[in-house]
Amino acid sequence: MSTTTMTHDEAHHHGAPTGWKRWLYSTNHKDIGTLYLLFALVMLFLGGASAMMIRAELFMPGIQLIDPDLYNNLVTNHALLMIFGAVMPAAAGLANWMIPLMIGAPDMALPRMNNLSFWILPAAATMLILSFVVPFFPGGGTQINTGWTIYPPLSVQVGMSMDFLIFAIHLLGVSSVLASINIIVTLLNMRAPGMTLMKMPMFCWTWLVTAFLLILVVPVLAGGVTMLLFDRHFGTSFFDAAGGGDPVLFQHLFWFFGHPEVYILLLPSIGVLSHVIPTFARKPLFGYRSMVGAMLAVATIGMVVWAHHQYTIGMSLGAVTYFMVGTILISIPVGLMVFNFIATMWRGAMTFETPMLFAVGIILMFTFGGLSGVMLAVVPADMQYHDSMFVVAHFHYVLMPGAVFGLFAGVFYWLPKWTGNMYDERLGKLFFWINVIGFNITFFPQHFLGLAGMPRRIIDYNVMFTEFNVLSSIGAMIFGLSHLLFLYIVIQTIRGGKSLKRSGAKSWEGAKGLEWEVDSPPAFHTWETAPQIK
Amino acid sequence: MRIETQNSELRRKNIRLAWILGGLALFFMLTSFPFWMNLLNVAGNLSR
Ligand code: HEM
Ligand SMILES: [Cu+2]
Repeated sequence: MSTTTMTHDEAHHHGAPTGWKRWLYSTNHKDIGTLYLLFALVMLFLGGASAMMIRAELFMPGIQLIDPDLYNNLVTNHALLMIFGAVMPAAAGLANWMIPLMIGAPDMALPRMNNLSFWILPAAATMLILSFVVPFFPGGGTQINTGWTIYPPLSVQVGMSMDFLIFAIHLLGVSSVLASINIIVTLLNMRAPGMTLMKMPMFCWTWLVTAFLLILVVPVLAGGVTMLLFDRHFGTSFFDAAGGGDPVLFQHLFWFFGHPEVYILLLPSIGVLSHVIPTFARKPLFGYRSMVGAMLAVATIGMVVWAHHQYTIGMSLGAVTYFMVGTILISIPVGLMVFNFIATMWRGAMTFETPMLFAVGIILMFTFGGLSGVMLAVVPADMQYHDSMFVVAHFHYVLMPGAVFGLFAGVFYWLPKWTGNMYDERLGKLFFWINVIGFNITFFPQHFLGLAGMPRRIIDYNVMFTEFNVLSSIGAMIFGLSHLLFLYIVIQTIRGGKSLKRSGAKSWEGAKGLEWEVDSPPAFHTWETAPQIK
Repeated sequence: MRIETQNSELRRKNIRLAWILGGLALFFMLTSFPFWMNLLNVAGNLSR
């Protein structure tokens, strides 16, 4: 058991420092959380711009708006910006804001390292963006064209843009490993007296597991891209068959990171749902223990099923069978989580404010994505679906609800806590409906496109695929633009005009937990004296 | 800048745990590539 005895020097008591130093030198978990969230929002719009350019080009067969090199560049940078720029930092922002409030700690365990974890990100993002734009400068080499999976030999052949990307991945990796270390130490050492691990709020549990996953797999990606760097510049041949290496080795390294990564993106949002659903169903979370167990099972099994992304490389029958069975097994604990959420809602006194709308939407759509996942997990079937638009449909149906909508739910749920102002519920609901309908129009048709044989990551397509692509592109424009409404709501809530209601300490009538006992917005320093948990 | 929120013992505990976790991460990075090279060799047909 950890005890937290605080020495608190009254003479040092102060509010927030002012000016730019407040942000650059910040060691305050709330400020750093805000920085992470704002950073993620910027990246969301950059990645979204790429996506809309992709869909604009795919509106019609043939090549109209952009050239194939730029198309490949966009496909690559869209994924990287969204995964590393938007979803992971946004989840880290929620963690920074909420974990200390939830466990009754005055701050993160290592506040100065926290500052470093965040401030590495703008540097990493600069490198990342440079990898997309250097080719437009004289002598900048070829555009990056590998997709986010950066498979050799192609990734050994592209120009210096790849070096920028490798450096960006190193920086991003350092940032997320440091952040993970901080989160783990905070959760293990800084809980209020009486808060045992099994009393810890579920969002904290999901982040504990996520942080361990990050520490286990991000260094492997870093190792992989370092080997790539050596193959590119220092004459090694890790991935070069001509020199006795094997390009498939890179795929194993990448997916050993890549598959756990999808759970890294998913789990924090599952954590958000574990708070949103009980609040708006006005019942405690069903099956807390089984939820923790399911999560540990997902993380453990999730570490050993990576090669379901590589069925087509010609593995032995034994190997593919193992990876198929393992992959399908994961749907059991994942299904258990979904079951727990439904059981929490069962006969609850439910209301459907924006966070709850997102929560219910997530359950429906995420489950759908899980089902297409099981289809993909079946080896002979995946031989057909692999590298088709069906895979694109699958991962957007799991990631958009499973990660992004969960983050939206979290933002709407906690925005009143952070700002002291209640967002405009009418606008929130409007955003939900436009967003979710736009999402489905965009990605549902892609299942059919994939099944009919349209490959992914290709700029042009056969005229027989036209109708569904037109539909998908129209959906994408609605979906993409709907985020401007999100931006508007967030800004409006932060500024808190006369039209908005103020939020009390407890923004939601059904909300439970330590975070709802501090003011809204919370004082600059909270829980300087640890609360006692019964 | 920062108020003292941790006594020295908690601080030491935190920093120690951070080093352990950092060491773990470094270990995974450094072992990743020999580990995978050998796994590929041992499994032989795992790759092709
Ligand atoms: C029941 C659970 C799931 C199963 C059985 C499953 C199975 C699969 C399989 C077999 C593939 C490879 C398809 C191919 O390339 O041919 C795949 C791709 C993918 N899955 Fe899932 N999946 C599941 C859940 C998830 C979740 C929860 C996420 C993320 C939150 C996710 C994200 C992805 C992504 C991003 C890809 C594509 C990666 C790429 O090639 O760029 N999946 N999934
Ligand atoms: Cu996977």
